[in-house]
Amino acid sequence: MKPLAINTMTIETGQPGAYAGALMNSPEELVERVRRGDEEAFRLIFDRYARPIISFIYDMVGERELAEDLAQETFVRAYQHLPSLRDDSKLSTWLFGIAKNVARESLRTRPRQQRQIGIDEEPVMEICDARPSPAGQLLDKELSGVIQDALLTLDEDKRLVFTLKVFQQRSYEEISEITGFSIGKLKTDLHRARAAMRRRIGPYLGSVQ
Amino acid sequence: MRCNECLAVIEEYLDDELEQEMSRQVSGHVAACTDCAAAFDALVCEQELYTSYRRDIEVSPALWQRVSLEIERGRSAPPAPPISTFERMRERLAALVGTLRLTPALAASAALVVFAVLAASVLVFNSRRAAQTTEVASRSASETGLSAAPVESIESKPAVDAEAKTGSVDFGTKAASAKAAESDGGLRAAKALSVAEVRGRSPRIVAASSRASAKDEIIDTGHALALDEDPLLNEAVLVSVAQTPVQPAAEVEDREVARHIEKAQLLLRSFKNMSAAEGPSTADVAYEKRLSRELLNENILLRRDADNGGNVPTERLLSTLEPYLLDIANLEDKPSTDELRSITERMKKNEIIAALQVY
Repeated sequence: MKPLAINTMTIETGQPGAYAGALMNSPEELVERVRRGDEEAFRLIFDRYARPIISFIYDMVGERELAEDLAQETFVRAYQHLPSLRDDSKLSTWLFGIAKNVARESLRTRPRQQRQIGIDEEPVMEICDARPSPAGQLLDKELSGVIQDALLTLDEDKRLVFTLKVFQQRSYEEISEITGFSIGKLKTDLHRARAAMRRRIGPYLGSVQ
Repeated sequence: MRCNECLAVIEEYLDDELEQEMSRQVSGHVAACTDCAAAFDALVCEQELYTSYRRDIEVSPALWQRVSLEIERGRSAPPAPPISTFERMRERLAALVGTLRLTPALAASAALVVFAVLAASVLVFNSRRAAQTTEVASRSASETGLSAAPVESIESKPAVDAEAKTGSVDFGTKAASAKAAESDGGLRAAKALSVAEVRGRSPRIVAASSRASAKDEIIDTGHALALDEDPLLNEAVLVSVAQTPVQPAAEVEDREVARHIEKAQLLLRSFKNMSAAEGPSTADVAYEKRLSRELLNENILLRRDADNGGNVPTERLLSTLEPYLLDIANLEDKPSTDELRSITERMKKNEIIAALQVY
């Protein structure tokens, strides 16, 4: 994992307690400690990765409660299978791989119509109208809604690749390891996902520029 | 670098995924070309927009509590009974089939595939079996003082030639017999079994040496012999192969169930007798508990197999047996009178031992 990503994630958790420990320990050390039966070490792993994992799952499934359940499932599976982790330095990639599997399993078991929400169907404006806020916040909120809806219109593979690259800042190699896709496929998917997303968020691009 | 070359890799450039040299070239081009610079700026702009994406989700402290609780629950749960390879394959297959929608076309294709696989298996099995039996025949012939040559002679030459050779082996079929009789002018051919005879008897092929003296030497190879181009011979062989006592899977399973039931019956009898003979203070059921645990695991697997195989009586019997095994497995080493009585009375009431015995 890139050092920047670790720091960002740890700071973002915003929870006091064991985070200093999480910063001090490398993934290898944490994994080794869990293997030795140190349960606190797994708590540190959770603190470090919970936010990116739950965000990633949320981007994939688009529902808060479901994302929480799936994040829970991800960490429980991770705990159970941690002894089988081959390369301790790839803990983060491995966790994302589990999260990806959990999210995909969930997407497959749910009816398609439940998860495909068209951008025009989502009552983004209703939320904004109901809860008036300052213009900047409104724009952010509206934009976030648009981005989330646009994400859900992408097919699974493209959403997966796009989320991992654009939101989780993973390298192509890491994405390939997480998804099992070839670099060529993920480049193509990423390019198409960007183009599709661009069409959706086009009206907001001007406001940033 | 040209614009189209630059634009082809500009996203990778943004993602910092280009080789150093290529990255340098793109960087130089973007600095000099306004169109490509605009394209790159647009991508940067998009990226900035995505950074303002705020999700309606936070990591709540309750999440860790849920995770740790789940881990704890998984730790305290009893280990799942060992799953056999067969069971695992069946589950995987079921999962695979579950993900597919069974359309008529898919069902028809699946049926065709299954049929093709079965046909191929039968062919392969027969050819292997034939090869083995040929080998056995030649070995058997040589062991009884006959040459190995007869097999070849039978396969490729008329019966008369075969009979002309000392120690030649003839296969018991009507066709071979008839050929031999015709060509030998009254000499009796080897004692033969017709296809019908083969069907009616144990699957043995009698190979005979038909010497010129017409003395029959019947050699029972003890195995099916085959491998002639004569269709009758092949048929005989197929019949004999079909009747070779191969243990079908169901039979093996039945035997396993029978053995399991017998063990369970002994356990329940022993438990019942012990409960009657010993007082509560002296009854030590440690051995019965251990045995009961072992039988319980086995019982679960066999019950599932019976259920999946549609064997309703066995499945019912094993389902009836399971609570008793569970109760005994969960007893303390020195259980109270009430606990023992409760189990034995239920055993009597439901006549479980009798039911096991009948099986």
